[in-house]
Amino acid sequence: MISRLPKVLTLIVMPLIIYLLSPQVAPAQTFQVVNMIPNSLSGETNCDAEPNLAVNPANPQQIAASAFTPDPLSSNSGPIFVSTNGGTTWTLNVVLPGGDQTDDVTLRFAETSGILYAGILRHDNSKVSVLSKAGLLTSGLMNELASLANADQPYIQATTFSGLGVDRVYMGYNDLAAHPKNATVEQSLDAAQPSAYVPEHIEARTSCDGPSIRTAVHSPSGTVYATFFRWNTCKPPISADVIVVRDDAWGGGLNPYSAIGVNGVGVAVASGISIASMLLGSQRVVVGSSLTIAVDPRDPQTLYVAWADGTTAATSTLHLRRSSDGGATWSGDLRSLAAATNPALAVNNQGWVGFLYQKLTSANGKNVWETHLELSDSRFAKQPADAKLAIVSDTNDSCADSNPLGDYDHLMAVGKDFYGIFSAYNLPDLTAFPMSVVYQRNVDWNHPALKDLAGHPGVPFSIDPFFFVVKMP
Amino acid sequence: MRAALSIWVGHLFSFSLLFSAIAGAEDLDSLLSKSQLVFTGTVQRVGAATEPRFPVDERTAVVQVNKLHRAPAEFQALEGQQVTVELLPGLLPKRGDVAVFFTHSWLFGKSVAVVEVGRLGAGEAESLPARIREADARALEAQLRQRVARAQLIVLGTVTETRSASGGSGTATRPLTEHDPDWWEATIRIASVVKGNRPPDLRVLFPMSTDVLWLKSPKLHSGTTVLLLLQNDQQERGMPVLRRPGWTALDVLDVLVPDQLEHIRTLIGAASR
Repeated sequence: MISRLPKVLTLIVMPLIIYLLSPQVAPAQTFQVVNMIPNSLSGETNCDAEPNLAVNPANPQQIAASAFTPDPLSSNSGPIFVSTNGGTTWTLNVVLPGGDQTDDVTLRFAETSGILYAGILRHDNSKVSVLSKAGLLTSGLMNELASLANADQPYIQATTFSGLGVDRVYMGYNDLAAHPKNATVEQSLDAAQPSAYVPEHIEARTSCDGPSIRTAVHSPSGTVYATFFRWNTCKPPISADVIVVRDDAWGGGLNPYSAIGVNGVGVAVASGISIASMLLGSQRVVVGSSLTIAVDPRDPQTLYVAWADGTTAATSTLHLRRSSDGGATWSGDLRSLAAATNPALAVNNQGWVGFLYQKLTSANGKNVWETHLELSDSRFAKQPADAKLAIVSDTNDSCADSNPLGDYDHLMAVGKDFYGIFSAYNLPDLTAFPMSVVYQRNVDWNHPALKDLAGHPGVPFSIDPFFFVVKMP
Repeated sequence: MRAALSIWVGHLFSFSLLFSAIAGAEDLDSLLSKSQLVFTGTVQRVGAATEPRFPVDERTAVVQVNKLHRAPAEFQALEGQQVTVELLPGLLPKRGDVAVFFTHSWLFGKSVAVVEVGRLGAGEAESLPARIREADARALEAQLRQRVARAQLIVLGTVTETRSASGGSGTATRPLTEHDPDWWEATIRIASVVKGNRPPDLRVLFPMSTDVLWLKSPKLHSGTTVLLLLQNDQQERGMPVLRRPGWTALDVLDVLVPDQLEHIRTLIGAASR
């Protein structure tokens, strides 16, 4: 028996080790990357940063997206990007109230109703609004369902409760008036009713919280997660815990979001991390802005959280961890990436996990932003497949704002496919987009240049939003 | 009945062209305040759109842009192109009709779709550029008049010093947000008080932040002489908990070049009469 052990090792254990250590080979996935600026706006030079994306689960041909994009005609209302052909082509529809552009905007479709919901920070009165609209291409502004003063960073999720046939909305936001204990979810168990919106303060301790509050909803079970940075001090230098709270009844129980942790205060995914505002290249990274959460649609007990910590570009690290017991306990780092930001996570209906992020690297002595999409069918137990969607110059040419990429991008799964959005420098160079790219705006690929609506070259380069879809086999 | 109605509406349109009536009985200033794309166009098709994905009903039309009267520079190439127009209800044109369309934003794809807010007869087009210039000047003047009216103190002065007044973002009493204005304070040496009572000393708060919320708010620079339209304890910009008591000039029209001094005095005089 003993003498046969080496052979067993050779035949069984070694291949397993090799399998676990080898990079995951992606099956026949197909990638589509699209520069979203419509052809009629070929002359635009906006800083279209901080993008967000919503795919209609009931009809993935319908997609809405947003960025810091102003109304091209300055009508005092803001636009969203819409596609009715699965993201192949894009159109701006001016539907957001409150100024030519918003100061924050996130979007989500409910699961079956086809209603699009948005959380925006209006420019005209600095209030956060929850909005809704049916009809992607119809004229007219979105309806206002709720309005919040002293609120920031609305990040919305929506679903449909099939039992009652109603939509449900969960919008994480930073309640500035509640400081401390500012981590809050504005939610509605009947999203069409303005009177049904209530704020749930999900911080159970008397702590100051970071400004980013993200939610994840598991629709069939009514399991709702939220994650935020719980600060151990209220002012810099900040030591923080990454907290996850959970509710098992759509956020509507007697003590919402208290299902896990001692006395229901939530569970720390990581403790004692240091975070600070910093510059990553030319990108101003806001303290504690890099945070994301996703739940496995097949299993409400399996979820993933990613965040960035560090206090300088040299110590900045992006982490990915997993829980398999509803957030009660957490893995160690499944991924640990230096100088990366804007994490976004999604899990498809086959259990593949998508991990989108943007990483600062260097090439020929110059800073470069790489946008990566990692895909894993092993829950990141082994090296994931890594697709570089963009490799572009770190420059903010026309962006007066010092945050040319924005504080987030977005990734979501509908069925087996992954859909995402990121902002990047828009120089038309095919080598900068290894998975290929299509521009709708007028470009000259041979002598990389942007051309205006009349076809004249010389349009300055700027930051554009890029949509992508990964069709899984 | 429906056919008869269409004929009647068609006659109504011809009637409106004949007498160059303004649709909706609004004056030009009001129309221009709601329309950012104004053009003379020829109706090509009614109940149609320039792109198959654009919504179509009896109120959408494809219109050839013959002449742009008001449009941002990047849209000058629209001249000679076709756009989709969501027409005013009850004022449906027919193929071949020519009119001046007053429109605002709707869709921007491979082509452009706009929503009509008013219409003039084609005969009005010739005089329109001058009238638009005059109307735009009136609109700007009205905005300036409004800022002057809101201001409790207007001074001509020189910025002698600027320094941070934020006290740090994210404290036990102040939450942290990316939209923090990052308040700075400018000390002003007053040369002339145009409106209000001269304060013993004047310090003006301004947001140094280049966040999207504060990007357009004027930044004050040491050594510059400016005309300041100031509000005390402002209640119009930023989240309430992030506001600071004191004098501010947060609108782009609140900080003017000294050359505007006499003009502002005239506006104040006109308001007090």
